[in-house]
Order: sequence, then structure tokens, then C-alpha cells
Amino acid sequence: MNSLNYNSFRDEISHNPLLTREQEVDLSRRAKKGDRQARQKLIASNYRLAISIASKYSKRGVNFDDLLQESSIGLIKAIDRFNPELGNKLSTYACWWIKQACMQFINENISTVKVPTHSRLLNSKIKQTVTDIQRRFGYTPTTSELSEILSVTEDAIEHSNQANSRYLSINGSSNSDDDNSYSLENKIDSLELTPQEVFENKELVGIIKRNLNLLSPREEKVIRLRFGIEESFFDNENFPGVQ
Amino acid sequence: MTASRNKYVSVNSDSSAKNYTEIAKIMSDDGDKMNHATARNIIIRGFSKIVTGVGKDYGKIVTKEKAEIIAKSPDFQNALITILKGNRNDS
Repeated sequence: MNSLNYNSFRDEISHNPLLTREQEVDLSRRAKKGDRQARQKLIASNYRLAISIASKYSKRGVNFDDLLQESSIGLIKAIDRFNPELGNKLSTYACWWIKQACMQFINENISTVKVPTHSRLLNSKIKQTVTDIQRRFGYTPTTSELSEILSVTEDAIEHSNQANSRYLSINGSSNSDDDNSYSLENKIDSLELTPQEVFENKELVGIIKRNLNLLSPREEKVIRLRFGIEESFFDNENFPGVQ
Repeated sequence: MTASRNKYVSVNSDSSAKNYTEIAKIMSDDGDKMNHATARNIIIRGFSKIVTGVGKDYGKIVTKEKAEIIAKSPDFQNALITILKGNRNDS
């Protein structure tokens, strides 16, 4: 849905007047009995609530149209489960279902790696608490302090922080402003040994091999048994190129 | 083989590796009677020889005490065995 469509859609639903308490109860009762028109009317009249809540979550890096669809599903769920006999307003009940639908959609789509909703919610609480303490007292709380404040274990806090940390793409640039920046993949490649290091390693192995000859047969056997090395391991042919 | 936090070398993850008691039993069965402490001392002595020899090749004089400290180090033992096993796998 582009912005033009969205605006015309919004104009269209604005023609659906808000329901009075009596109308809401009456339509809900009829919808419960299977009246599809009553259900449709309830959805149309409360759709602006879904738009309002979805727009609050729109800056979370997800597509707004998709978010709107999800919030509508939340609204429909709420209408289907609403019990008018309890005396609450539909909007009071529906807003939690709409929020839940939005949060779940964001959680499932904001990153490639799926993090459980409870962990994401805990992380959000942790961040909020840290910001609050920093603002009020000027220091960053430790994990144990956070554990005490939020009444969760230190492990849960650490797991949540770990699970909600930012991800790096292996092909992503290390610095977007720098043309000479190189990707994580290149960095990993650069960890491979240079020809000089390979040569030095071979030389070191050669030196070690020469010194293995200093071991008595008894020492050699005990070392072999200790580290699970085969008997032929200390033979010269296992070290090609070593004199 | 991993160096634990307590700085002991553990060989449990390697099924073919033996602990000192098992080594002592195998050696004793083969006619070289020893206990677990002797097996450990033999390994440290053997590694000390290698340390001294490698030091000499690099022009360093390693005292007996220093060589023994290095030989006992799990990091050294890990590195030595990794290098040697790595070399075998590459060949």
C-alpha cells in the first residue's frame, strides 16, 4: 500500500463513525452469535485504533504496510474474543491484542536471527533501566545490580544481552564512510598465515623434531601414551623436509 | 587436549590419550614398573629436554629450573602437541 492509497484508505475508514457503548455491546453480542455484518461493522469502526497503534511502532525498521496488516489481525482476534458482558470497552481490550500482534511481527522480522519475545522484552527492560540509572545517578549499573532491580537472574541478563547484540554481515563493510574499508570476510582471510609465517612454523617444527631425538625410548613411549600419539609418529617420514 | 582454568592439562577429550594411572599400568605390564607420579615425572623430564634443546637452537640458555617450569605449563604442552599433530596432518 503506497502513501496515496493509505491516505484514501484512511479517508474511507474515517467515514465509519465511532460506536456508542450501547451499539458496541449490541454489535458484539450479534457478532458472537455469528452475525458477519455486525462483526464487519465492529472491525471497520475500530480500524483507526489499529492504525494508531501500528503507527507508533512504525519506526522499528519494518514495513509499515505489513505492520498495519498485523495490527488488523490483532484487532480481528480481539473482536472475536471480546466478551461484552464483562463491562469493558472494546478498545481497552483490543489495544493489547493489537500491541501484541505488532510486537510479535517486529520481533520476527527485525533481524535475521530470531530471538524469543521474552528475551527481547527483557532486553528492552534492561536498556530502559540502564538509561534511567545513567540519567539519574551518572553511572552504568552492573549485572548484579540489574539482576536485583529487575528480579531476574544474572544469567538471564547476560543471555538476553548476548542474544540481542547487533549482528555483522560477513560481507558488510567495517566502515561505511571509508572507501578503503574491507569486509569481515577479508579480515578472516587476512588471518591466514603468510608464506613467511608458514616457513617459520616449518622451521620451528624442524627444531622440535630434532630435539625429539633427545628423548629416551622410555620418555618417548610415556609421552606417546599420554597424548594418544601413534608409535610411528616420531619417525622421520612424518616430518617431510626436516633434516 | 585442553588447558583447564586450573592450569592442568586434561586429555579426556582425546579417546586415545591416557591418564597417568593408565600409563603407569601399561608400562608396568610391559615390564617397566612405575606408578602414576613416575609417569608424570618422566613426561616433565622429556619435555624439559625438548625445552632446553629448542632454547639452545635459538641461542638461549635455559636453566634446568626454568625448563621444568616451561615443561609443566599446559600451554606449552598443548602448543607442542598441536604443532606436532598439525604437522603430521599436513604431511
